[in-house]
Amino acid sequence: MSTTPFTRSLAGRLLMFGVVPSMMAIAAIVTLSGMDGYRNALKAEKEVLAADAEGAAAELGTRNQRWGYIASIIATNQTTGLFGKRKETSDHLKGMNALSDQNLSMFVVYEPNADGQDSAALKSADVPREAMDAAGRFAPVWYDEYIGGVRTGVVKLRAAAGMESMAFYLGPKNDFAKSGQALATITEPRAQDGIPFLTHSFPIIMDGKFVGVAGVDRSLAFISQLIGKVKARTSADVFVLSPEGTFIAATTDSAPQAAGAAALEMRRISDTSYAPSALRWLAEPKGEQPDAFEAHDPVLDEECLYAVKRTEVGGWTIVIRRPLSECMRLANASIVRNVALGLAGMVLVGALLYFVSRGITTRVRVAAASAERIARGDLTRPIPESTSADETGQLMRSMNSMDGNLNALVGNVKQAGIRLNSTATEIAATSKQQEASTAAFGAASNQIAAAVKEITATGRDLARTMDSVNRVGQEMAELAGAGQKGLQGMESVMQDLNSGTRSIADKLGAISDRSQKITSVITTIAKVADQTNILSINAAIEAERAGEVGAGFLVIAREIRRLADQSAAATLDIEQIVQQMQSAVSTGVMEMDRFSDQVRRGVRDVATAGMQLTEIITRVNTSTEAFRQVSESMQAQSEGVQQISEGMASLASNASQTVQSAHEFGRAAADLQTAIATLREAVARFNLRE
Amino acid sequence: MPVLSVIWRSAGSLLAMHARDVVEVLPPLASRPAPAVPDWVRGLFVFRGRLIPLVDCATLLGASSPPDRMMNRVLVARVVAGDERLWPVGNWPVGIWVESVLDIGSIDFDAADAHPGLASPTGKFLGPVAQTRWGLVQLVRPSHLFAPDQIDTLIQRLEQAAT
Repeated sequence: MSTTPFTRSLAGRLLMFGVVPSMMAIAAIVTLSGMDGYRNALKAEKEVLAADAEGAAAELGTRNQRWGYIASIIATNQTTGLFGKRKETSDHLKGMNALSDQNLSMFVVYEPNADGQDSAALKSADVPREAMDAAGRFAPVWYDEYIGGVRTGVVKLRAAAGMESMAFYLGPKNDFAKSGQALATITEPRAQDGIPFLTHSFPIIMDGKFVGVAGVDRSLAFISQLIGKVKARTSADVFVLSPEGTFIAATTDSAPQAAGAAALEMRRISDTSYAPSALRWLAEPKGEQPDAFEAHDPVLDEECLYAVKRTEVGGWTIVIRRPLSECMRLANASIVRNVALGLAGMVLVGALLYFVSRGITTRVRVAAASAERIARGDLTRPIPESTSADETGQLMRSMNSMDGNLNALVGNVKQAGIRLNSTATEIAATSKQQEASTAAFGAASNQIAAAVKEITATGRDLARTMDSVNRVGQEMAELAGAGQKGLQGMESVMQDLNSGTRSIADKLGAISDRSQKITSVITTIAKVADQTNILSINAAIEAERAGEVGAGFLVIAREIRRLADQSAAATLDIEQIVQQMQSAVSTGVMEMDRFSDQVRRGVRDVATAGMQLTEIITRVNTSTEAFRQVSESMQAQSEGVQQISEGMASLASNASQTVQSAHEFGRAAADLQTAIATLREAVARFNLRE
Repeated sequence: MPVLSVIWRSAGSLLAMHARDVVEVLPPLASRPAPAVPDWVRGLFVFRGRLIPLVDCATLLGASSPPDRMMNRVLVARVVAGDERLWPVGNWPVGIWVESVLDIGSIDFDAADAHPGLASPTGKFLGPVAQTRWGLVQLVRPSHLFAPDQIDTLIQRLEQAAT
């Protein structure tokens, strides 16, 4: 059996058309699900960061609003009665400043001589000197003392300075000048005594005129604590930027320009390595909702997720940053797990297909080898049993059944061939015996015919001499004696003829019985040929179902069907010949019966003629009249003999036909033997099991 | 493309069916009469443990069935169709009573000189006609052997026979 390359084998094709598409499908599913999972995780992370940014912005905005409100309360207290009352105002500020530990200081700054008491106050002892500048301008600042960055708990008073160039003063003043409205102002962060802070201030408007500002300085430490809580909860870095681009607070300590987080506070963005990113931060957000986006972080040097939100009060920009690798750690782990599961699934599918295909291939190879062995005519070994429930198992069982049926069929055909050969030999022998018997019968018939001719001549001679019997009575008596002797010889011959006729009838009966047996054998052959035809068609169908491996057996099935058709055709010929022979035998039997009747009648006539001839001889000697009667009797005898002659001619003709039929029958038997030899030669190539 | 086909004679015509659609060829067999079946169903018989109908091919073609002879054959063919009531496992064999099986050989019904056939709505099982060494042979498609109304009738008769 030729070896099939692996790529063209059943296992190879199963692996090629089963495993490869399955692997591609699993890879596509894993890739798409991984991409979807990554996108969903990224979207969820953005939403979480945006929520954190919005929460921080809301908290800081609320606190800005509250500190702005405190500044507005101090200013309102001035306009509702405290303006110009410098001592009460200073005491009020001191009391207010003690209410909270988040503020560094509280102050009121008047315009120069706004209350008209600058000169007088310098001379008065009611108002502390520290609450005024050198010109007596009222500018008290009550502040908490810090030494080395640590709050001492001591509250001190000093006069504000440089307010004409500082935002906490110029901001409300200029806003009022532009809009005519009293608006709160938040300054940029700055430091004093090492303590970072910013200022909330509110204008003091008396009778529609700007007369000064009131405000509070607020420590940035509390903002850092707030965003520190956000970082502790989310592990994300938080930046708070002023509208002018200054870091108000930040949780990061990884800035390369500084060692700690505090290094970013109060620094301009443009002075830090965050400058490229911060420009985008300040440009965001574009709507009310926080903006979340991905961007490369120049400080961390990696892709990060950002959420940006602006406070409603103060316009601060809240930025929350978290490295993308950290955000997507769980999602990436899930993708890795899915890829691992996909690879495991592909390996499992490949292994299962390999084992399944190996089982199928093994059974198909066994089936192919068995079919090739059967095609060689080797039926000595059974096909291995298969317990598989699939189509290959059914193929094995079908081939096993086919092998068993073929074994039985060939065995039956061989036995039938032997029996047919024996029968055909017997038929041929019987035919030769029949031919010899018929030839002997023909010879006897010729002998009888010669005797009858002699009788006829003798009768005629007797008739002609009857006229002279009267004259030559003695001579006639002698002639009558000779005639009596001839009749006696003829009677003996007729007895022989009767016996021969009975023998022929018996032979014809035997031939008829043989013909009946031949017909029975022919019917058996026809049934075997019919079954062989059906079996060969089913074998061809099974061979077609077996595919390429059944092509060889398809040829065998076609050859078996052709032999079966030849057997059927030969059977039909034999049946026709036997029918002709039976018809000829029946005709022969009928003719023989008729001939027997004639012979028996001839015997009786000869006996009668003999008795009459004796009487003639007796009477010839007594009277002429008696000779005349003898002459008439001789005439009647002559007619009877003529009838015998005609019957013998018919018998001879029938014998000739019987010889011809026996000859044809012998030739048909020879044809049958030739067909049987062909059939035996065809099945002889099959070796059967014991 | 030549396909191995079983060629038979019915109603004076040569017909063929793809060998892969033929389960087995059986000698003439006796069938059990079924009550009130259509005239083209000869009856029911047991094949491999299943009771299946025996269809007379000549009557199905509209001709009268000739007297039974020894050369008659029964083709057990696979009938595949979409009716789930009949084919829970996909295959449903049916016996076809034919006058005689002539031969089994390869026939190319897709050849250029093959005629596509003129199938009527009730005779969709008759396919193209090809010129072969046996003469003009027409393809029989067992999957179109029965029209839907015939299948309904068969289902009713089979259920009656089963009870």
